[in-house]
Amino acid sequence: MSVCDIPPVRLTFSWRAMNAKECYLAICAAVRFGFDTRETLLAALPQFSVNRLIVALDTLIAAEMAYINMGRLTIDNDMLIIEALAAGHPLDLPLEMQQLKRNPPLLNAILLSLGIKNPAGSLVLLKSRVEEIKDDL
Amino acid sequence: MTSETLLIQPEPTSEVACLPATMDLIDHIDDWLTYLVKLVGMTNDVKTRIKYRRQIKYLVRFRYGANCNITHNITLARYYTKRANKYEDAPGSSEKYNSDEHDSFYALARPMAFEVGKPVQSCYLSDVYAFKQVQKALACEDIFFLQGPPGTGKTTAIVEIILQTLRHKPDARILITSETHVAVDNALDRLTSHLSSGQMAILLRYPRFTVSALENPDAILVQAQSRANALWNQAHQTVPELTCHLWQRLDQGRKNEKGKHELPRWLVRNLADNHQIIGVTCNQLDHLLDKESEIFDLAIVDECSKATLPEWIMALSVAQKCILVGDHKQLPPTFCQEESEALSVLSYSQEKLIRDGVIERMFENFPESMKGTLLRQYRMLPQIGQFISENFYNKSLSHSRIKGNGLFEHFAWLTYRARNFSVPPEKGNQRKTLINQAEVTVILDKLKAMCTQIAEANLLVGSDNDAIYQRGKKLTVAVITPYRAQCQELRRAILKNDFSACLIIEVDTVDAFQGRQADVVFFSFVRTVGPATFYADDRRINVAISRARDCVYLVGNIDYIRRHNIPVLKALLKFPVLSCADVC
Repeated sequence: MSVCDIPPVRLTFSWRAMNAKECYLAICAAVRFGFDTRETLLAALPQFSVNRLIVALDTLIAAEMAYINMGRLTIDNDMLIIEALAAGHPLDLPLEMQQLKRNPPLLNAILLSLGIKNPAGSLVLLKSRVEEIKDDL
Repeated sequence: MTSETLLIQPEPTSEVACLPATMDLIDHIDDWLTYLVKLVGMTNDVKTRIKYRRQIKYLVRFRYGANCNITHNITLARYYTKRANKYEDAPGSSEKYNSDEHDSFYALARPMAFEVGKPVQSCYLSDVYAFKQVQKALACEDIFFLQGPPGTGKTTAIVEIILQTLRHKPDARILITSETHVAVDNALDRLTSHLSSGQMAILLRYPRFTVSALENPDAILVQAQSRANALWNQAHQTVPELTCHLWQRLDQGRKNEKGKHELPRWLVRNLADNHQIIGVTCNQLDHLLDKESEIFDLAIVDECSKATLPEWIMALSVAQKCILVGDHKQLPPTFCQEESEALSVLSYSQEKLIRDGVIERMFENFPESMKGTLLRQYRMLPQIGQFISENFYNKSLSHSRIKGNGLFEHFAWLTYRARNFSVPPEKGNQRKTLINQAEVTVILDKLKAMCTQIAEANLLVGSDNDAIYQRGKKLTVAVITPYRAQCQELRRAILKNDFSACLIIEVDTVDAFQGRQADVVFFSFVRTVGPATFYADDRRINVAISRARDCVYLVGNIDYIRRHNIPVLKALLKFPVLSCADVC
């Protein structure tokens, strides 16, 4: 069977911690706007509680998507792709369901091909969902 | 094991023999879970289904001890089945500490128990007994029941408890909750009038106030929407570009079916984290909390006897200490038709226990150190207060108000002779709805007469007159009835007339009016034939009569009432007949 005969599967990503989604987005945006120290970040985001910002930042650092150097915060460029993926951009792939399900090496390879340099880190923040595309016709 | 399985077991012995089918708290929780699961399957409304699922979640958590303070589980489980001895201490307080030697240890071991000296509110200087109950509540570490008969100052006590807690633990996180928005509104509104503008910053009302008039107009600023707007504005002033970017990218909520803007959950949870004192109904509590949220040091559940078990358990589950404020002599929770159908899957005793709630049983069984009753009422004039005290509180209430409005201070019957007239209709093809047009007419006539009387009084009262009736002051009138159909009919009829010049009229069912009050109360009995079990329920009559500050008009067919051998109706028959109309 050729590749073209296989019904394509749809790969989608969403945030693993849905309740921290806004915190991730806000921290990344604030740092990109130049609010990269503790004081400036807290002052720039009064909508968020300090506790939630710390928890979100902890996860970003653990996922190696954020770094602190000399008291300044930087955000990895991978976050731009992660944000786009989590926003719901689906990927239609000519693969079988079983190939993708519970296959981290393949998922890593897909993420690498999308331009993510640290796929393992990205999967700390994202969770994937595979579904078969049903042809209504 | 649920109580159904227990029913087929050998008869229980000793102290548990007198208990209904449900044997312990876990069984009762299981009954609730059975009922809620059935409800989830029955209901088509998505929002209602979410509400029941949320209740299941909290009940399961509580059942497995995954709540904030395990002493709550131990205490409730113990006193569900067993009455405390006269000198019994609360669980967890069996070890006696010498406070002189172990002050710091005592404070560590009992962080939410405060020894309070002076009251914050001056009203407690004259009501020493009420303040003692507040002191008891504050000295209790884990859970306390405060029974507040009508008009005894439950809201004042709640405010005092909060103010004293803040005085002893300035960073305490406090939750004010209830089954109804009105109760939360009242407590929070009253609290704001005791706080400076700086202290107001620690308050949050989620989602918004529902009462039309607030005692303190500035309280409106503590609404979640106002708080959220203030934060976005603050952010916009500091970092405009970033704020505009975030405003566009982050979820900003949506309008609900009533057209009101609902804040997004992420923002609500952040707001809840950043505020110390939060007012929210039990069922909306989950909107504010997730696994990252800080627990509350104190939860106060107002009108707890009107809340169902899952509702007050939700509040109890998220706090270190819980004070349940209510009155089990007033109405228990109401169940809609769908809920009643789901209840039918349970046995009679299980259903009865769920319908009546367990507050009364818990209150009776709790040790003295963990419960208190307020006994001085400030709402009703003595003759109304005495009726309530004698019939529902073993003559234990004392009364403080003597002066009424000066114009309407009756406790009397507005009756009629019903010839060839019965409600509900007994013969013919008429629908057997509980609407009594005769009583609607009697009430309308009296309201018109009241307006005339007020207009005359306004002309007579001079500026230097020391009369009690205040010129220009509008009297509040509650027209209440046990039946929804009559309530709608009364609303329609009253809307056709304009009484707004001198009266503020509210029309509602007795059950819905619990927690509110009015200067004058009209109670429409509706029925002229049939049983009196529903409307003459002690708790319903208690609520109906005790809503009145100055005056009660009993609108009903006195001959029909006389036929019943119900003590509370007999007591009502002792009051004079003010008017008697002829109805055909």
